[in-house]
Amino acid sequence: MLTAHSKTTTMNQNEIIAQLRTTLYDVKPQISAAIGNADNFRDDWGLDSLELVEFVARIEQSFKILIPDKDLKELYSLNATATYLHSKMIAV
Amino acid sequence: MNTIVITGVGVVSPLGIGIDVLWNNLLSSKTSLQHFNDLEAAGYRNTSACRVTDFEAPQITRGACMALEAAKQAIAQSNIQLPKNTGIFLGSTLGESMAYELAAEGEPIDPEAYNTFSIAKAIADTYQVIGPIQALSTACTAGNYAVGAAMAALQRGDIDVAIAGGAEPFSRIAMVGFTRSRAMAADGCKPFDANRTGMVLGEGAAIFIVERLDDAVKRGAMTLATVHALGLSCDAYHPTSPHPDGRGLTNAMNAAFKKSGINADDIDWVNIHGSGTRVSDAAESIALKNVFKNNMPLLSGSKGAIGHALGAASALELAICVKGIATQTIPPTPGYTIQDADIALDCTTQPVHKKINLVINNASAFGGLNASLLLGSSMY
Amino acid sequence: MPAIIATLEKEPGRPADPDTTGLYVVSNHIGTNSSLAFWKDVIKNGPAFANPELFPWTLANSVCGAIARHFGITGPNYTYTCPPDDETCINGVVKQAGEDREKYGLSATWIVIVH
Repeated sequence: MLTAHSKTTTMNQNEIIAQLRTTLYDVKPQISAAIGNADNFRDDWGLDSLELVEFVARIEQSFKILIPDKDLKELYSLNATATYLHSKMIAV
Repeated sequence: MNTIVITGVGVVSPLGIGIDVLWNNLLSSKTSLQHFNDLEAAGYRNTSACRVTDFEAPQITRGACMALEAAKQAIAQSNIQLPKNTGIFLGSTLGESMAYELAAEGEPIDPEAYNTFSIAKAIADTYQVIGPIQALSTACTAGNYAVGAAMAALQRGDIDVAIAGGAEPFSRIAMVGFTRSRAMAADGCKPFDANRTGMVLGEGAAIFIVERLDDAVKRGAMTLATVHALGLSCDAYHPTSPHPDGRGLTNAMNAAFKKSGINADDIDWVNIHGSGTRVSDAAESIALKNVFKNNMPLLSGSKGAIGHALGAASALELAICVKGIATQTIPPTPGYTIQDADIALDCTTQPVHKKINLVINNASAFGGLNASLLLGSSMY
Repeated sequence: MPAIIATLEKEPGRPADPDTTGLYVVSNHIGTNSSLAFWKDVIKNGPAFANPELFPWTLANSVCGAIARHFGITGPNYTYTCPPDDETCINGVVKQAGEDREKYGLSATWIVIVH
């Protein structure tokens, strides 16, 4: 049985977004600084399916959070992804 | 140009070892999908697959052992004395994946001694034949490629008999890779279905004896099917996704028709690639509509029953096509129940008995490969 | 991007008609390093958290696909696994390319041997 690692809610939305930009740099360096927080990854910046999958995998690794397939559609922008991750962080 | 025929078939599949066992289970719409405790214990996210549970072999040569078992069956059915210049044409995606995994884990193994060529060579060495060996590493289209290459070599007169097919042992690399690429189904493979969510990983081998019709007739062999043409194309679009307008399989099927001189209107049945992923099934459905327009043949797929056996997939499905021709029966499509509004095509849900003269066996792969093998009854 | 692509840009250079060009890659090595690296990442991070980035490159036909994408080559696309000094294999590839040239009406066939 897989269990998600727990993490303290020490990160606020902006801190999460900052870490997401760092992660995005590893996937698509040319957009990581320019992309707006509310911009759609696919529609506004053309991230394709492979890039999105890799981005999510790196998010899972760096935040130690398992993201099921059914939740992927919620991760469509930096803001939306940060909101999702924030909700998954469990206070200890 | 010599007519090329198949005179023997052998399979190792998650739904049975031997074509008759596989076929009868497929006709009953059985699926081999099951949960595996070893995957759960190792922390895999996805713990369901279609594996051949009743086949024992050393892990590092499982692919070769499956291929050899299938070859043994095919040779027996063909009742052939293999000449020395028999050619071997073998397709696989990852070869003996376990060798790469163990090497990465620090075992003193040269993984390249266990690649696709090694499986082909194992067949040649076992039967002590010295004809050409071709290892086709064309991923999920490899089985079709192998039979097509055999056909070409026979027509050139390079060889008198070919052992051709595909083999793919269960790969942990593929299991993790496809899961982390978010390509795996949550609830089984549902080809062309409205509720499809992805693929299921399989394994297996299917091997054929392929020869010129004249030679088969001369030695009194029973011909099971005629191999008319292999049509190939490349999407050149994306590393893993097909071009959404279906151009890849459209071009591959049209190439098969052009090479054979056979008309699309005469096709009775298409065995779809039908991997169950949203984008691949959608692209294939557009290709089918492009090619067959208003005269759609019956469609069936087997990945809901036996999973996606990667390099062995199109070979296993070709074996199903050969059996279908022999019994004049199109099998059902396990996993397909509800028509998808965008695909707007139905697959078989029951066995269909009808006159089958011509069949297309479709396959697509990572890298944008497309291979459509055109097969006919032995009377066509 | 595979290094072979830069080589092919120089010689033979972009195909005149990529839609009627066939591509035949022969190698014993393609996919090996990526397979090892991918599985090492799985060992390190666990199968649930492994990075999928390298997975498409574990396939022996990954380079052939990359060449096709770069140059827009949509004709027949083959990857053969064999020792690059296996003359019988290479001869078979040459014959296949010749036959495809005729049957597909190809204007060019690229046989690329990757050592």
